[in-house]
Amino acid sequence: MSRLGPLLALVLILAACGGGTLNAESFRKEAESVQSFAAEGALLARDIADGKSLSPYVRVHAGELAKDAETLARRLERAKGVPALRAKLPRASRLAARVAVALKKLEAEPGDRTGARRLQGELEDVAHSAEELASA
Amino acid sequence: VSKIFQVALGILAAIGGFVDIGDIVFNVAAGATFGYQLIWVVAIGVVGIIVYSEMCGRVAAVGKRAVFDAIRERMGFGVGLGALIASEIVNFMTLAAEVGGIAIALQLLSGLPYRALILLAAVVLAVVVWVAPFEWIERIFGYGGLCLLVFAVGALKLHPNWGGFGHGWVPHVPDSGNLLVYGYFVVGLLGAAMTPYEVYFYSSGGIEERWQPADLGLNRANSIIGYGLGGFLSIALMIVSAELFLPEGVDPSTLGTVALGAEIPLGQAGLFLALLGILFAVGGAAIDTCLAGAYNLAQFFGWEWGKYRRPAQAPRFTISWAVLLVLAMAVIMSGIDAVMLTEFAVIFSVVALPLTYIPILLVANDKIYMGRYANGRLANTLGLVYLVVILFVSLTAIPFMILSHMGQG
Repeated sequence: MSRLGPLLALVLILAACGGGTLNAESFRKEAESVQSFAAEGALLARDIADGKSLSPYVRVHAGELAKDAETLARRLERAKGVPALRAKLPRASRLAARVAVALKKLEAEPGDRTGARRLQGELEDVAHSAEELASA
Repeated sequence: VSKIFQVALGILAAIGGFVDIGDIVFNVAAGATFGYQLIWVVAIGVVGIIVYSEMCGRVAAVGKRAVFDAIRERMGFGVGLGALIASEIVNFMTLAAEVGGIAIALQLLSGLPYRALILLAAVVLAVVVWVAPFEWIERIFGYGGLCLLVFAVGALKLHPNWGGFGHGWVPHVPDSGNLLVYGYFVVGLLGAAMTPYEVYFYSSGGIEERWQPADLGLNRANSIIGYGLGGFLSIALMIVSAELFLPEGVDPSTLGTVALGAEIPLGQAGLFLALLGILFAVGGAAIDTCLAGAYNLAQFFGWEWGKYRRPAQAPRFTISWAVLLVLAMAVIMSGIDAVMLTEFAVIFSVVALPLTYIPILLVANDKIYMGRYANGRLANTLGLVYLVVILFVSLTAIPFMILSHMGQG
């Protein structure tokens, strides 16, 4: 147990620091996650706009995606990056936050087909921007 | 109709094994990451599980022994106990995940609170296992799970790339992408196809149904049709994902995303059938793992067991499945992610693979025990080839899981 003490302390310190410093590779993965949430949200919004979905499903699934996107936005906001990433991190965080907001609107109004069409466009834009950010 | 009902055991064992909550998400993730490139792995896994389930069904019909009887007898108490502990841990992790999966599917259908639905799921499972005869459990969950065929219809409607689909059947190293992630998916898909609880449940089911040597044709039909269908559903999920999620860069990690794969090509009806299929498949897997956990304990310790007995005639068996179910409900109520839990269970289950499959091969090949029903040359050759595959999978699963960061690269 005594050998595990310092290791446990290190894990707790790292956890308290909010995830440490991102390098280019880990940032790419985070940006791809933003793209994934946005793209999936856009697919869901398109189906709502086309009247192809069911309200309980939309409420639950959009809510779950919104929660995950919000967590990602907070993680990106707190994260520190290597110098080359310093400008990209806040942008990625803002994109994730936009995804979370759009998905929350879908969750709140699962039957609003006009609103869903508008959100589809917005989420597609975010997915495109996040893809650019991941590949830049 | 009675002929169709006779293959229910194979269908339930396969649906519970191939398309449980973890496998559903794992197959969809494989399609979204590598397109059609992993179809060959599912095909290899399907043949492997058909070979071994046919053997253990034959041992059940001829020798009246289920898998854990054979393990205890052939491997001795010490090794057998190791196999029992490993399999009970994996069964339990899977059961907890499936209870969570039922609640998720119900929540996506109804919008009701998740925790209340966990409780409802556990109560309904307990009532079904207590009250329903084994044959009806097979039929309800096996055939209910066939609603997942909606994904095959969806796959066709998406006009798959048939060239890529054909290429996917040929074992190969990927053209692009992370090799460690590819290796993780190869090992995970093989492990999922040959998950030990499938054969625990299948062989015990053969005894529940009182199979005789005259039923060996039925055993063959169950293993080929049941596991063939399971593999077919896995491939359908992979195709849908390759066509919908890969081009958009969607990384599927929830059952909700999986259901979207049926909604996009088929609309509300597709979504409803997909959720219903997931509900029955995951429910079937919960019953497979719950009963398999109790079967293993009872067979290893020599207790009375079987659904064909009244609960009072097999009290320790009945208490075992009830306790497993209550503990699983408690674990999933604590907030553990059901999908993550079952992915861990799939990877860790491969450690129990050799301890499960070696005794089956030994017993099925024993002429003193099996008489003229012992393995022929083809069954032995395939059995040995798959033992090599199983050993490879057991040795590499955990390293691949660590090195690929659970498939995240």
